[in-house]
Order: sequence, then C-alpha cells, then structure tokens
Amino acid sequence: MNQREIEEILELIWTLREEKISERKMVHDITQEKEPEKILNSMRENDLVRFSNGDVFLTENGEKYAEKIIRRHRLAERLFKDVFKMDDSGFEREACTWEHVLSEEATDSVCAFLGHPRVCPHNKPIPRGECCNKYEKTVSPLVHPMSEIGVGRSVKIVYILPSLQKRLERLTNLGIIPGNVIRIKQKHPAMVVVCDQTTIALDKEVASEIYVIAVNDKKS
Amino acid sequence: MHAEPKVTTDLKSPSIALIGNPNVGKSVIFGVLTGKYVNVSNYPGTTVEVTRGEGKLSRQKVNFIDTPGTNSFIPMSEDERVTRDIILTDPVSSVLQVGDGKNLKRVLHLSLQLCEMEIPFMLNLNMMDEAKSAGIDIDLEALERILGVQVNSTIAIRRQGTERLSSILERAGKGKWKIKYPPAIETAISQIEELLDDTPVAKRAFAIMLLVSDETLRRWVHENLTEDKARKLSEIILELEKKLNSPISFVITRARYQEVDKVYQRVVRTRKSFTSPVLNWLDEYMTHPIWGIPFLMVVLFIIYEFVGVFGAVTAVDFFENVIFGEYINPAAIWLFGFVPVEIIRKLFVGEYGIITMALSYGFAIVLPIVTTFFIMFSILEDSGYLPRLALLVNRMFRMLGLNGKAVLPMILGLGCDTMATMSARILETKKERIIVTLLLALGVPCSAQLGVILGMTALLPWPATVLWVGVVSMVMITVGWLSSKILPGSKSDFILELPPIRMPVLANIGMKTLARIEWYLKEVLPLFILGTLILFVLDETNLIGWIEQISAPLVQKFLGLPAKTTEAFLIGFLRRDYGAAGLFSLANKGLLTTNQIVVSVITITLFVPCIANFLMIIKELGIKIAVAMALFIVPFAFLVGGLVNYAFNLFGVVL
Repeated sequence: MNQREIEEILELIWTLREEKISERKMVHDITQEKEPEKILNSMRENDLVRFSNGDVFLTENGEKYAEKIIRRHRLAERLFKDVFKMDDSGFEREACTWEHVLSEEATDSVCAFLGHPRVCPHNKPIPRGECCNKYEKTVSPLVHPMSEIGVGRSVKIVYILPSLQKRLERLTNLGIIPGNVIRIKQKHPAMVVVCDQTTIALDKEVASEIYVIAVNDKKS
Repeated sequence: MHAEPKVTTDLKSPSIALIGNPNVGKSVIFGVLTGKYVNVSNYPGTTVEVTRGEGKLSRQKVNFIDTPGTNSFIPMSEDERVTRDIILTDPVSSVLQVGDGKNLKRVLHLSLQLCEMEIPFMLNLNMMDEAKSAGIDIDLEALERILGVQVNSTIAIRRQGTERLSSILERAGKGKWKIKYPPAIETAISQIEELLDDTPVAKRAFAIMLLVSDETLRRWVHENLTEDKARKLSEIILELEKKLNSPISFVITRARYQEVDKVYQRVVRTRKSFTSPVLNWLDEYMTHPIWGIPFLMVVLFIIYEFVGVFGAVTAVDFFENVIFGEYINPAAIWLFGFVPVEIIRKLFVGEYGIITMALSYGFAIVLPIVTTFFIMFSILEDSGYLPRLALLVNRMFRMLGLNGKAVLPMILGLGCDTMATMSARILETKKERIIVTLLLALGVPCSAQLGVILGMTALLPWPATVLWVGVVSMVMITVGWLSSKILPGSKSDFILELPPIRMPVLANIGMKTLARIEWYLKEVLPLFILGTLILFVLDETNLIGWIEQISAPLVQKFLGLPAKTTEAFLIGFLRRDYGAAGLFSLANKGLLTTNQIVVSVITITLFVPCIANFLMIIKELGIKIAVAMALFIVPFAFLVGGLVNYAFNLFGVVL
C-alpha cells in the first residue's frame, strides 16, 4: 500500500462528497486504483476513513489529510493553467502529479503567488491554508486582484474569476481578457481602466474578480 | 427627441445593414448615405432601435438599416440582440461595418465574425483623426489583403472620405479571414453542422452561435429542428462544456481575440500619441471623486443660466409679451373681428382660443425654453460628459437598485421622457428597466416641462426652488429604493465604456437641435391644440365650472390652490408641460402665492406621464405594468402635493 494510492482514494472521497455521494460502491466504480477494497481497509486501520452501511466517510485525520491534497491539487491546476497556459488535459495531468509531491511550504508559496485564489479552474472551492488566513499582504503575492492595484500602474490580466457568467462575457467583449495589458486610470468613485484605446469604467466588485500581474512599475 | 424618418422601404431593393461597435458613428454615416437625420451623440447606446432609410448606389436604390451598436454577435443586452436578429432574420444583402479606427482590435473582433458568417461586407474605419492623434497608423492595404474585403477610412462627422462609400459598397464581398478554434470546439462545431439544413448565415458561423447563445436562439431551435436533433444539439453542448474548463463563449472569444491580436500586430504601427491638454484636463476633473461634484455644479449652473434665465425669462418674455402680446394676438383678434360668428371668434382668439392659448403657449412659452434646453443637451451629449456622469453617480444609483448606466436614460428624460423610456433598453435587467421607466414617468420632468418650471421658479425666492428640487428628489429616491426592494429580479454590473472627451462640432449641434425642434413641433403642438379644444368645449358647455366644483375638495381644500388651477391639471393629462405652462401663465398674472406655486409645481412634476410617454411604456413593458404605474402615479402626485400643503399650514410657512 503506498502513499500515492491512499492519497488518490482520499481525494476521490472528498470530491464525491462535494457531489453529495458517499457510497463505497461508487469509490470502487470510479477509482483507477487496482485494489480499492484493500486500500480502503488499510485506510480504516490507519484511522483515515470509517465505514457505515455501505457508505464511507472521512475521519478527522482523514479530513485533514484530504484537505491538504485537494488544496495542492487545485492550486496546482490554477498554476499550470493560468500562469503556464497549459491546455485542459495538460494542467489536469500535471496537477495529479504535483498533489503528491508539493511540500507544505511550497504549497503556501504557490498560493501566495496566485493571490490566494478561492476556486479551482473547475470552479470548485480550494481549501484555505494557513497562509490565506495568516494574511495575504505579509507574503506579497505576485498576482493581485485588479482592485488592489494603484492608479497609473500597467498590469497584465492573468485570469478572471467571475461569479457571474454574464460578467465574463461582457468583459471579454470589451477586450478585458487574459493576456491583455491594461492601465489603471482611476479608482474612485469607480474603477476606470484603459485597455488599448478603450476606456472602461467598472464596479470595484467586478474589478476584484480580475487577477492581474504587474508589467512595469512606471508611475505616470 | 425621436426623429425617426418616415420612409417607406421598398422591399424589392436590396438592404444594407450598418453594423459596428457602440459609439463609432454609424448614425452619422447612415445620415450621409440616406440624407436622413437620426440622433447622433457621443455616448454608447444612442441608437436603441433600428432605423431604415433609402439611399442610392450608382445603379440602384437600396435600403439602409442603422442598428444599435454591438460588440459581438453573442448578444448581452436587448439592443445588441436587436442587431444580431437583423442579420439572422432580415434579408440583408450586405453589411457596412463601421469601426473606430483607434479601437481596431474590437473592430476586427466583429469583422472576424462577419467573415465567419460569409455575409458580403466592407469595413469602414471611422474617426481616423482620433486614431491619428492617438498615434495609431493602420496599413489599410494590408488589412484589405488579410480580410479579403474592401476597407475605407473616414472622418464622418466632417464628411471626409464618406463620398467614396457608395462606390466601394458595390464591391462588398465575402471575407476570407478564417480562424481555427481549439480541437474540442472544432469537433463540436462540425457535429452541430451535421444537424443543420438551412441556416440564416453560413452553417459554421451559425453552429458557433448555437454553441454559445442557446437561450436567445431557443425559439429558432424549436421551430427549425426536430426534437431528436434539438436533443442532440444540447448533448453536444453539454459534452463540450464538460471538456472545457471555462464557459464556451469565453474560450471562443479568447481564441478570436488571439487571432485578432496577430492581425493587429501586422497592420498597426504606433507612434507617440498626442492628446489635447485641455481635453485631458477636463477628462481628469469630470470624473474626479471630489472635483467631479463642483464640476457637475458648474455644468448645472450653466444650464440653469442658459435655459432657466436666458430661455425661460428673457426669451419667453420677449415672445410672450412682445411678439404674441403686442403683435400676433392683437392682429389675430383684429382679423377675427371680421368673422361674424361669435363661436368661431372664441374658438380662435377667445380665452381658450387656438391662437391665444394653444399657439401662444406652444410658441411663446414652451418653444424658447425647449430650444435652449436642446442646445445645452446636444452639447452635453457630444462632449462625452454623460457617461462620465454615470461613473460619478454610480454609487448613488446603487441605492435605487440601479447602476450608473441608468443616468443616461434619466438625463435623456430631461429632454423627453418618451424617448428616454425607449432608451431604457440599454439596461440589462427587466427590473432595472421597470424602475427607470417608473422614475421617468413619475418625477423626471421633460425639457418642456422643466423649462416652464425653471421659468416659474425664477419668479420665486431661492428656498422655494430648493424645496421643489428637494421634495421631488426625495420622492424619487424613496420610490426607487422601495421598488428596488419590492420588485423581483436582479441588479446588473456597472461596466461602461467611456468615449473620449470631444469638442462638440457646431454643425452637428445645430442639426440636432433643429431635428429635435421639428420633432417637438410635430409631436407636441397637435396635443396642445387638442387640449385647448377640450377646454374650449368644457367651457362652452359650462362643464369646466362643474369639474372645478367636484374637484374642489381635492384641488382647493387638499392642495390649497385656486379653482383655476384645475384647468392646468386637466390639460396636464395630455402633456405635463402644457399643464405646467398653464400654471406658469397663472403665476405670471400673479394669481398664485409662492406657497401655491410650490405645491402646484411639485404636483405637476410628479403628475401623469404624457400620452406619448404612456403609449411608449405600454409598448416597452406591456399594458399591465403601464396601467399599474399610472394608477400609482396620479393619486401619489396629489398625495405628495397635499402633504406639502399640509406641512406649510401646520408649520405656518410662508415662502
């Protein structure tokens, strides 16, 4: 029984739970591990899961363990997708590897680098780590929400995490799209940004969902 | 402000649709091509309806269609949808794409979609002067080669380059610029293509539209696809959604923008830009969180001086007392003195005479005021100040369940509530449209009415004016706030493009003002005459005394106004400004105390929307909502007026 197999099963139980599924049979059906029953039993022995009436649940220990894996997996997805621009199957594959190897310290650095994102590219929540709670500003992330950028700075859009689909479409139609460079012209009473030759005014609330990275620090 | 040309479109001649991003000058070019004036201004969303007009290419007549601006054929709001639907449902033979030269990326984003649709088109890059001062040089020939269609450049507002348009239009052809999407999307596109037989545009383009805008095309799917195929279609979409990690429309738009970027790099060279320091300075202060407010105050003060003082006092005085008082009315009375039948004499020059009342109210009181207002409003429109105002008031409007964008229809309402009701379409949710329409109908006085009221308040001490503004604003805020709580539905984001600050062009201001005055005279004078006739008949049959009597508890007791004001409210049902003009003339004759002026002015401001506005509400929101609004507004207007009167009496206020 190696650690990787256990972690895969933990991850599966967690994601199934997000879909409100807890049947043991489902774990068997979906997993790609060869001997799921054996792994599950050993996990029970190690106090990671418990069984009840054909269902499987995480124990307190299992919960903590799974949370870390999910966090690493989803942060890795963001990293490979948004920053390294990997395609859909690529970042998925990469994340599956990295979830087993990232140290806690490295995970927090990635999290800070990405600006403590809250959801993965599939829009599922990323469990928050200590770094998120401790405080974002002490670790100075490289990727910031646009609403936190000072006036006069030019930034490149890295990703947009809209809570509404319509918002994303409206932004993209105006040219606010990952990869484009914009300049922050004004922040009050609402954000004003210049994208190419178009000046766009938008709510702070919307701006806080646009994540950007500085391209130069020239104050104008 | 609704200057839609009445043109009978000949169905046999081909149609050419003008399509482009918002605020790029489609309407100006439409005007050049058809010789018809449609409202042109410097903010996105002026055109909310399709306008048709006839024009000529060298050999044949064509129908031109002016459309609301759009950024994509994936519609986001009602007006963008209008444009997309024209392409899909109208038998358009070709498209004239109008674009802003300095915003080439967004222009190309549309061109790419037109190429995909395989509709013959040409590209006209407008505002090339602004592109030049922004330091952007575009290699038009290279662009022509890449797109595979004709490209022209113009400065339409100064008619430069527009003379070439019709000859180039004859050579409009299908574009050859094509794009490959990520494999998953390409697969879905070809799967959908297999389901389609007859599509309004090229199969591939239509398949993409079905992929991204299922909701707005649901009806088409329902009518044109078998149930089996419709199910397959939604399966393909679901399948694709699973494969992608972002919304389909986003992936497609991103792919398009990447392609656009490549072409942009090839055809554009940038130099150092030059922008006027004065305009820059203005831009800075207009939207400044602190200086923006005094700037607004200065703007309002200038408007007040020009419309309220010069228009409503000086000019009205001249027209009413000199032109009508000394010449026209005496001349008409003298002339009609020869008519032996008394009733005809009274009909034209009596107390409720068509000349002495309808025409002198219309021409002497209202016309000078609306003219000065239209001039000011046109300047504001063309300068680009209005969207900046939207930015400034965004937070305040949030309280009313709206966002800053709603300031555009609201200010337009100060011109004409009817037109403004229509332009509420630029708002994204129905809830916002209802709130704006209600506030317009309730409390936003149109230019005619506003002008008359400004004229009246000019007679008053300033606290009276402040009181009027205060009460009306309080009422609007309260009603807006309450309806934002009560009405179901959602708010929408404030994401608004700010057009550059521009020096208004005198010729355009003049043309606009004239077109609006023409509209005003056509739309309004007949209603004035109708109102006068109604009063005349009521007077002749002595019904007026009877109405005054039965409404005495309301008008005289509750509002504390003289019986004569009943007439003003009566004709106010036809047009609020006519009612206001009636009050104005009473006030001018010294028949009202200051308190009474304030009460009556508040009541008439909140009073029913005019007939034209009411019809527009029915058209936009349906009869149920329209009637509900009217049933709320009329009693409410009297209630507020009565409360103000009551408060005056209670606290012994004498203004």
